[in-house]
Amino acid sequence: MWLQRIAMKNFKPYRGLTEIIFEQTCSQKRKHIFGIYGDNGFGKTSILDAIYWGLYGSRGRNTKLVFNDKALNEKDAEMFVELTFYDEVLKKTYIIIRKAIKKGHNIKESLEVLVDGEAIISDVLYKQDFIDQLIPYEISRFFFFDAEDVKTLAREQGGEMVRDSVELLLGLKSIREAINDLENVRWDLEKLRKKQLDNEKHLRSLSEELDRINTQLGHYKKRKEEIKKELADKKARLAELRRELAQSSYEEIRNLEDTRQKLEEKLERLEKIRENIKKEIEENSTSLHLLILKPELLDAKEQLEKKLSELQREQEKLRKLNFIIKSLEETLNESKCSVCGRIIFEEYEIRQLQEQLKELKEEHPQVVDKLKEIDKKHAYYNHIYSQLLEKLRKIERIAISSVYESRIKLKETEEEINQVKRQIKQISEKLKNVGIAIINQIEKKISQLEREIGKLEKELQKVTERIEELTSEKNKIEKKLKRRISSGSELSEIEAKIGLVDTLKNALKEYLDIVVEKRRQDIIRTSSDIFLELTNKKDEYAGFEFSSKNNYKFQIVCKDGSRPNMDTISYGEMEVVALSFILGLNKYSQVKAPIITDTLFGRLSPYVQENIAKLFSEMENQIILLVLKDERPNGKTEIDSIAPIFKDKICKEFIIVRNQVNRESSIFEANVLVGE
Amino acid sequence: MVWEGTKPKIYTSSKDKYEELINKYKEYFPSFSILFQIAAAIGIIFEEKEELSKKEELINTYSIDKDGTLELLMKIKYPNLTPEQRLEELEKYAEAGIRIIYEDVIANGRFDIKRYIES
Repeated sequence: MWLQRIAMKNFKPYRGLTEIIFEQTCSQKRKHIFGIYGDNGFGKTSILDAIYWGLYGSRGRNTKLVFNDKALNEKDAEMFVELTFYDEVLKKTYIIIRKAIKKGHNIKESLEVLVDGEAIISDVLYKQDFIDQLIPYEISRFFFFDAEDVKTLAREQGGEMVRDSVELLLGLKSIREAINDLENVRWDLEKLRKKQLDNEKHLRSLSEELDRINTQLGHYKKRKEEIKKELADKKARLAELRRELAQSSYEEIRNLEDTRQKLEEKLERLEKIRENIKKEIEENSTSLHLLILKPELLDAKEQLEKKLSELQREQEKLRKLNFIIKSLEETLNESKCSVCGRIIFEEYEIRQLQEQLKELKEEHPQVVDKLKEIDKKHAYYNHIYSQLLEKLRKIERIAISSVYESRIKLKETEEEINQVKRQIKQISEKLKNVGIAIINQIEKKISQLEREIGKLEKELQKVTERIEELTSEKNKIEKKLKRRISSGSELSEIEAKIGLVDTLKNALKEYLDIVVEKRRQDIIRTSSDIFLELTNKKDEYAGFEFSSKNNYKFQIVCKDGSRPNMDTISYGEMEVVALSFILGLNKYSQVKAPIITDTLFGRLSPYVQENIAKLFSEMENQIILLVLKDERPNGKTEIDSIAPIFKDKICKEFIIVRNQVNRESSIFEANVLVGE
Repeated sequence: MVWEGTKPKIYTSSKDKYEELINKYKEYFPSFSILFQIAAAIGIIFEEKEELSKKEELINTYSIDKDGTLELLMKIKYPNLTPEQRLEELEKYAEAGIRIIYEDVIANGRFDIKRYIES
């Protein structure tokens, strides 16, 4: 069975007409996987809900508020889901159209089923029955499921869900119906017998006894049916509550944790900024006195410049003197002018020069030493001057405004940090309360329901026992009756017919028991094989089973034949067992419906993800994956890491887009994992 | 840079003023060394010095004047003094400076550094 098309209007966030076409041509190319990607809250689960509602109406899950909010406010609003399936074996196309029309305060539902374009003309119950034969509601959760289904099954370690689903498998229903039909036939025969018995005076007391037992039996059987129905309703409510618990707390906790993580990242960033500002302020504050000293330093600069030019003048003067003295000494030593080279002969000239030299030396003693001292001083002040210039250049770079701006920035940052810290604290407290409050609230309801279910089960057991007692009593009377009926009479003919009906009924019951057991074993074998494909403990495990002794709870079997205590098995491992059972049941089932999974992968461990990817790529069913497209900026999906395994099998991809203003969703064809 | 010489500590006779200013006006004076530098700079520009009436240890010498500007200025102003003597002179400038700051802050409730920069 291939789901060719989903069309919906005013269903949950899908306001106008929304259509998804899953091309059948892909199956010829051996491409059977479709991806529908969307962020949280965009409408992935609504697609699954649309399929459930389309097929089963209000029996489907999450189908309390399916009408689009805005559409519901309109006069004469209409909402519908249209599903088109193609049966490849029977070569038939089925179109299921479920509509809801709002008239005043009432909502009227209608159902239409078309087979190869021809509408089934009958009442709703018949049409619903037709759909149930295509994909029975009871096993639909093994075709259309999410991680929560896997988790619920894992949490319960199989149990009743396993027992019920096996017994509700296609093929067994008709046998159960045949048994019921035979019981009705017997009832008619008994009525006929009663009429005859009323004419036989000697058999009247037996007839009256049978009447009494039948009346009681009728009462208990009726009560038994009532209890069964009540039990089924309560169990469905219980399953819904468990799902609600898992989903609401998970989503809320996840959202809160996401927010907390984002806030913690923000806090980290702000604290880094604060440190940098502090550093900046410290650096600036350390230099603040320099701004005050600036005029003093400029004065000092001027002073130094004066001092340096004084020293320079002194230097020049002394250098000149030193040069004159040296030249005179040289001229006298060599009797030749050291400047122009003229030869000096005259004595008076020599004496004059000698006196000149003497005078100069007397006037300026130790010129050379003085010059050395001045040079040293000049070098010292010059060094200080260049240092001062450097400091002044640094001061020019310090801006008073930046010091104040930094302080304001610091104050703002600290306020923001405190605010973020407060928010984190609030979220942490909320997280504590959310988990506990929701769990307490729903667990309270669950335990209340469990108590009620327990009571009903006890009553059912008593009623069943009473029915068995009465039936045995009835059998005894019927035997007595049989002995006292003369052969060849009309009564004996009726008795023979009743006998025949009983034989047939017993044979069918026995057949049903054998078939149920056989199918159970087949499913377990298939599931066990899948389990071995999915588990990462292939060397350790031989498979899994479930025994009727322990209320059909899952039991892993090790290679050495031992059976580990299931309460000590990790939750991840239990999920693998549960998922194997779902896929095993699915594979074994005679119904070949598409597999539709909702956000299945992200919550499973990586090795299970990888193994499921392998399994999905090898399966023949049409597979529609509703995938969480990561909200983070990298735009990745929950299956990006495993996509290469089944990329070649992807036929088409769709993306859900949500308009945040009007909160409406639309679906578009897109390339997400499969590029051009 | 470390102040030349062998004087390891900086002294004041107004430690109570330093402590009060640091505690109450942390946004302006994040540390003793920063406040001492500002006080010394204010004393210098106002050309006011005060003798220390008592010597209370304030901070370590190495924690002030990390870029050496104060030391350079003191070298220019007092070329003939030893580094230790220059530091003592700086303490006297700071002593006057801290009084000015204290009076200013107590009177105005805040420290407006712009007043000292513009003057």
